[in-house]
Amino acid sequence: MLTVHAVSRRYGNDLALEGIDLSFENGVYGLLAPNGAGKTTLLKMLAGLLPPSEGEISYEGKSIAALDEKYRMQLGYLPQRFGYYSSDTPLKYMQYLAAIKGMGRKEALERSELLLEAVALGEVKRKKMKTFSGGMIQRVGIAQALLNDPRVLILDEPTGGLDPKERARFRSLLTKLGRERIVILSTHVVSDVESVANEIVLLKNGRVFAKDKPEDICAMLAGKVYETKVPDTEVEAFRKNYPILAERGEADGWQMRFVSEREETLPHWEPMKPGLEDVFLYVYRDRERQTAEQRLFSHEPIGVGEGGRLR
Amino acid sequence: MKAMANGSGKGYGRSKLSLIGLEFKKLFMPKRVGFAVLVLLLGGLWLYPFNGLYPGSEFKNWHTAIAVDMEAKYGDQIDAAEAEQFKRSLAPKVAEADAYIRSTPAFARADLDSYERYVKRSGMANGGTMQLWRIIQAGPARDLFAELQASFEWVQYYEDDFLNTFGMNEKETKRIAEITSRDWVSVLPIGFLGDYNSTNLLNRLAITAMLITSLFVMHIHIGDRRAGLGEIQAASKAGITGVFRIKVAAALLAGTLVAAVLLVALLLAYRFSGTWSLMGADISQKGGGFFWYDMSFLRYMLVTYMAVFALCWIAALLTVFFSSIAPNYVVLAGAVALTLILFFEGDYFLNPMLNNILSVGLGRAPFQTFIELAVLLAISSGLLYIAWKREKGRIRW
Repeated sequence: MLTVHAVSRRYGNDLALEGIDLSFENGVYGLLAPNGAGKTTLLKMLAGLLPPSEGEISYEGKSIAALDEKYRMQLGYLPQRFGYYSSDTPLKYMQYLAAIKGMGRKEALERSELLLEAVALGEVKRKKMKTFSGGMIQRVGIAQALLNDPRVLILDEPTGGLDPKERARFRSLLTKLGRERIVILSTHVVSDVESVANEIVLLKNGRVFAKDKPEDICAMLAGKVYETKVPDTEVEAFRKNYPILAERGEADGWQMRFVSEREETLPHWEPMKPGLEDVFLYVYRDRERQTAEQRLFSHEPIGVGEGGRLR
Repeated sequence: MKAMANGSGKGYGRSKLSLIGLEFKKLFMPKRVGFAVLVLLLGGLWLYPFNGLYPGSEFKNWHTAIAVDMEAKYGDQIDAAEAEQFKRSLAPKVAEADAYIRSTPAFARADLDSYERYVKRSGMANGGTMQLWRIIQAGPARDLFAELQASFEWVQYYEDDFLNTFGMNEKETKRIAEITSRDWVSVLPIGFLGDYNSTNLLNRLAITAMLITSLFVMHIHIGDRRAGLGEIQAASKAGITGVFRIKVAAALLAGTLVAAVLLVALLLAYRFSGTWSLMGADISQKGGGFFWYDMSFLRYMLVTYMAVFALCWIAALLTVFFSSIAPNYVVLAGAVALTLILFFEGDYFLNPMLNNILSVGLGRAPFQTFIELAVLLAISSGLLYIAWKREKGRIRW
């Protein structure tokens, strides 16, 4: 189990994260937040790259700082921007990383070839990476994170550059991986985690806003999401009155998907089943809309109880 | 924690070695080797002292040639009887020179009829022998006269008992007395040691080795940093500290390899110069060039060449430091260039360190050079601590 206890992180006088309490067991965890919300800082701390300013992160009951190399042996990490020599081939690159991960030469070669096949790069394993597309590079990054068969896999924005087919393949891979290890991936693309994550962690203003199963996160907006058609003349007023989740211009007006916190609804409002994307858009909407959000969720981080579990 | 116990720790010792090998290979990328070869070729400009070993037939080094002959006849220690025999062996050559002088009208016009008189006249101010010397140089007796001149210089060197011990301490005087009381002199020719020592071969090899080492090592941190490998390295089993250590090891290995390749080149140069038979001769000479230890020229070369290894390690460590702290390649190249110039130019480091290693009475303690090198190595290693802190700090932002 990987546990984050009362962790805060400061950069000078700026507080990037505050009072983070989380726990992770085997499974896939989606860390969902907009850019700049502290996802990368949290993941760097989970990877042991960044010490917390306060609090402690422990693995199997021991501080990861104290475990040091022993923890890193269990770790697979894909940074948001991972580096490589463009003149290297994926195979050579993987073998170098296998060596710094402490793997023997033979094991490194076998595992590198296996993983490159798994991410559909087997045929280009001896081609220089300077000829690769962004998606191919990202797949090399995913493969390298798996080199040492890690017990804790941390992936920072792993789907950047992947096309829809590659994303689907990646999600399938994540599901398999999450059965016997902790997989934590950060993203701001909701669809990446919606179907595969066992739990979703929402970060907001440097704190954990929510941590629960995707369906329970979605339940936060149960009965509050509607769609309706709004004439052109009323659309501006409508936008001011309701948090908009999606809108589509049509010949006879605007098809609006929105959140209503009122108990009474209008007849032409069609109730919709909320999705994770709805929650994401609602939680991370513009600041002007925060008053409504506060009415809905109060000041406390929603649903975060003991061990980060949703109340 | 079961997973940890069963983690992929097996074979880490081997993987460390292979990692050093991988880092090492990164340093010796083909384009960098090509650049180093170019530097070596341009290095011909400062490696000209190798010329001394291959003067060619036009500028034959007669002192060395005579020493090689003497070694073949008498061994590498010349005693009084052998010196006398050598002197006697010159008589037929003197007679040959006499015959040449008598048969050449220009010498008769100068009122010279023997080699002995020609040599005496040459030693006089306004002796008027310049024209005669030109005739000799242009004629068939050129080599004969050059060989005779070098041979009599050796005889003079052997017979000259003048010893200047002014300003020397008791220990130095005692060591010199010990050398001069020998009943033999080393066959090592005059100037042979000086061609290697002083500011010649050893110095130029050190400059070349340091420059090439720095060229190879420059990339070591800044390359990975520019490629953005830092976070992945930091999250690996080796971690920042492990990767840093491996890079230092690879840099030191690179310096060792460069110094070793140049040492092989140096030994091959001597091996095929026709002077290899002199390698066993003692380095201390008569009347000057005294050393604290009795040792053969070959051993002296190997001992003093250790300084080149140490200088390569210093260059490697300093370059690792600069590669870590420099914000870009321009600053890095400038810092490395300035440091090497400080070493190469003037009398700050290389010249005093490499001149007269283990010499007696030249103002340097026996192991001063090695102590100075040890201090420089310690300073370079100390700078690595700053670089290591910098590498660790860099990943946190």
